[in-house]
Amino acid sequence: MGKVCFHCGSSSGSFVVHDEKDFCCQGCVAVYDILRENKLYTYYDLENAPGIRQDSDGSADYSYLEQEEIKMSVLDFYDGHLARVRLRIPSIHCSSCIWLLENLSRLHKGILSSQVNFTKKEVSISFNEELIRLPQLIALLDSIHYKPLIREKTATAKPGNSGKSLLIKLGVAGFAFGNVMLLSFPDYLSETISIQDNFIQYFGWVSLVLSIPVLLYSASDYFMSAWKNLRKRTVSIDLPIAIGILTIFLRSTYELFTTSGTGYFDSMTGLVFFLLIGKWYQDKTYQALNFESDYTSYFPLGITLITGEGENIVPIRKLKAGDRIRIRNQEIIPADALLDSGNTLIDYSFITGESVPVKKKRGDRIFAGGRQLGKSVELIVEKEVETSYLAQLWKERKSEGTDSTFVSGMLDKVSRYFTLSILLISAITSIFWLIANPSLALTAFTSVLIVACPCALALSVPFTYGHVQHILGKENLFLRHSSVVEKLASVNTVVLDKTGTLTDNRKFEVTDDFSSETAGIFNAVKALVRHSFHPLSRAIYEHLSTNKEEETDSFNEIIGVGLEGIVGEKHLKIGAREFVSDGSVLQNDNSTRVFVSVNDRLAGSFKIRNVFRDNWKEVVQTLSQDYEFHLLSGDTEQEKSTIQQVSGHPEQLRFQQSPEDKLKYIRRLKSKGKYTLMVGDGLNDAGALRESNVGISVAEDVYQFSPSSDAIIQASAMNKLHWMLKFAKASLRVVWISFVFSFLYNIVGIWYAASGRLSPLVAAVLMPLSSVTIVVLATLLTRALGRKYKLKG
Amino acid sequence: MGERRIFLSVFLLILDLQNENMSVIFLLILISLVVAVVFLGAFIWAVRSNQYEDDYSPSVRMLFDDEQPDKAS
Repeated sequence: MGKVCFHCGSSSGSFVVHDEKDFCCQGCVAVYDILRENKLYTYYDLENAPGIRQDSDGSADYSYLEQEEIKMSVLDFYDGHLARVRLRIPSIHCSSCIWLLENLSRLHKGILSSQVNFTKKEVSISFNEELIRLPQLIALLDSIHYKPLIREKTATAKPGNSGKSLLIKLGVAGFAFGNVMLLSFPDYLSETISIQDNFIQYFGWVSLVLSIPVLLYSASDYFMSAWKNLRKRTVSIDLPIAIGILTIFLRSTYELFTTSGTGYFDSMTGLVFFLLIGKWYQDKTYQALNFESDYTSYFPLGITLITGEGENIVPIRKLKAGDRIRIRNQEIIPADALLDSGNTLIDYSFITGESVPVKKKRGDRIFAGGRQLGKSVELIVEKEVETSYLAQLWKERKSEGTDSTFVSGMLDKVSRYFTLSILLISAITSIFWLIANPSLALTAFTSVLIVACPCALALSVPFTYGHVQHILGKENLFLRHSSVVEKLASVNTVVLDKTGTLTDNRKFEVTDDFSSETAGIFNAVKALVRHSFHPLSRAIYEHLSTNKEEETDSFNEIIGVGLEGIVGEKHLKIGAREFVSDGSVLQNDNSTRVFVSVNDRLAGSFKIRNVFRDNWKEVVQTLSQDYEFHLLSGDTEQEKSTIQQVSGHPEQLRFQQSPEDKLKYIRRLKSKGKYTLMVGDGLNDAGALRESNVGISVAEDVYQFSPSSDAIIQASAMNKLHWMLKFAKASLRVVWISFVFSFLYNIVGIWYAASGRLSPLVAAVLMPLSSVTIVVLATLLTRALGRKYKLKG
Repeated sequence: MGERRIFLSVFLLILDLQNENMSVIFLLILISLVVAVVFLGAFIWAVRSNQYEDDYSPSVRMLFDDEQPDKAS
């Protein structure tokens, strides 16, 4: 069906018509109205449907930002009037976003100026604190659906200094390389043109001077890394590179001083230049995706502390065990605490993925990360924020780091053998020549060291994996780091989650469960839910086909819990079971049920399920064809036969799995030697995603990500997943081919060098040539492979 | 006949003017290097003043119109 929301482009189930355009929800309509009032229509002109769909209704409370200490920790600059703040807004994704965020001053005159940094997805806003206060500013951004992450400014690190220094090193190397190459031309052509020798000498000296900063500055990382590794008694790929660079430089300098030649400064600077390009390219692909979203950005910065003197807001860092805090409706609990006031409902979806709230009574422990639902409660803090269960989980994940992969591990081993054998060969060669023909000894010795180029080893991996990562990114699979490519290549077992991965969390299927006599209240129900923006309310509204709506006399929505109101003299309550009736009601499945009571008598319920995504069959079919396919779902067995028909192997489809069950299942697979890929929707399957060898989380909009995954995939790209896995595997071949090429080059080169037949001209040309060839080869082959597996380049 | 003599003399003059001493090249190379170093310095300055931090938005920002916000009608 063709209809999409004018604002955000989503093709949701129900549409609202406003100003002759279709919108998917009231939220999008609201933003449209704000923009239209302020003549910011250009937002829609720059891009098609640039808006962002936001399901939260903007009732978040930012008043804790009024507190001095918290405010100062967020603002970059504040002098009483002018304030500047840098906010990270993950939903920035297009040029319209840039335009709108840089025209914020048109939305409120207190905003003076704003600038977007697109790569970091940040906006820096200068505003007059007297005209618009910080909480208002945040609320304004929330209202146009550009919700910022609120963090202390210490969390936002200084702009990558290492990135800058690498660029400068690269610039210096490039500058030197270009000029030295030009100055070497007379030497190359000295056989055809006659040029005075002293010119050539002069050019040689200039080349030397130009090469010095390259040696000492641009190449410094390689020397330092090689030295550090030597002290640890290990050999990394940087050692032969460092030796090579140093040897070329020393030999060339020696030749210059003894006027026996002009050296190979062009080879040296060229080598450093290409190596640095490789490094820069690799860094670039890593920076492009900032996965290091801190869990604390999910928490508010301030919490209401209750003391003898009353209540005030304090930064959450300051919470100690024994503090009494007040948590209101929809607020996140920042630390493990004991419930001290009456019963309440806690939504733990961030930690466990359970969307059904858990009932807690006085004295129960509530974990940090849960969201409180209902009237405000008082809690007694047990542990500080840093030591809560959630914080531990996160720390565990961070310390894991990137596992060493096969190829990189092999790389280190090869470089060890490589270095040792080169040193050996050059030693043997020089001894041989010292006996046979001493004049050639020095030439042969240094030529061997110069011509032996580990460049393929250093360049093929970053360029191949980097390009694979780039292509996968175009297909909406975003890898945390290019090393994940290798992990993807080794996968032989695929485990999928059902909810959110095969089903669409935003589309619902509603069935009603009412006795015939109470079906008459549907008119009233439809009238009441019309006032709510909650996705479940909308789903019910769509489902009910009556068109005779009654008048609503009063309406009240308690977020996360339910609605109540009076419609035509009937007092209706719609929502969670605990809200609607306190009596026990049989519930034999754990799909979401919305209950309805009329005048305090339970009338029935709606069973609401997510529907399968359009491409689910293709996904299951393709994956089960080439890989061992497993399914782990927290839902009931209802869908088992449907899925089984496509995938086969019913014993590999498990249901009613808790997060721990999923984790254990993955562990068992691993113990049987399987290399597992887990695809889940992030929060829910956090444990399993971490446990598996590769974890991919599915996202509707790829701005939300989970720290437990190695990659994110957009839901619509799932049907191409098996192509992507094949592509990753095939790209390993490209790496091998470049290794072979480099090996051959080295064999031939060393043979000639050792036999004393290697002319300086040939050596000078071969070195950068081999580097360039590797890079070009890797890129072209990868691209061709991409096309073979039907992926865009 | 007269033209040919003129051509010949011009030709000999040019040959005579050609100086085989190309030592000015020492200076020329130095000057061009200085110019090149100035550009390298400009590059380093650009990197350090964070101009390479965001390489996407400037390309987009360039294309925005300088709108005059109209008075509310």
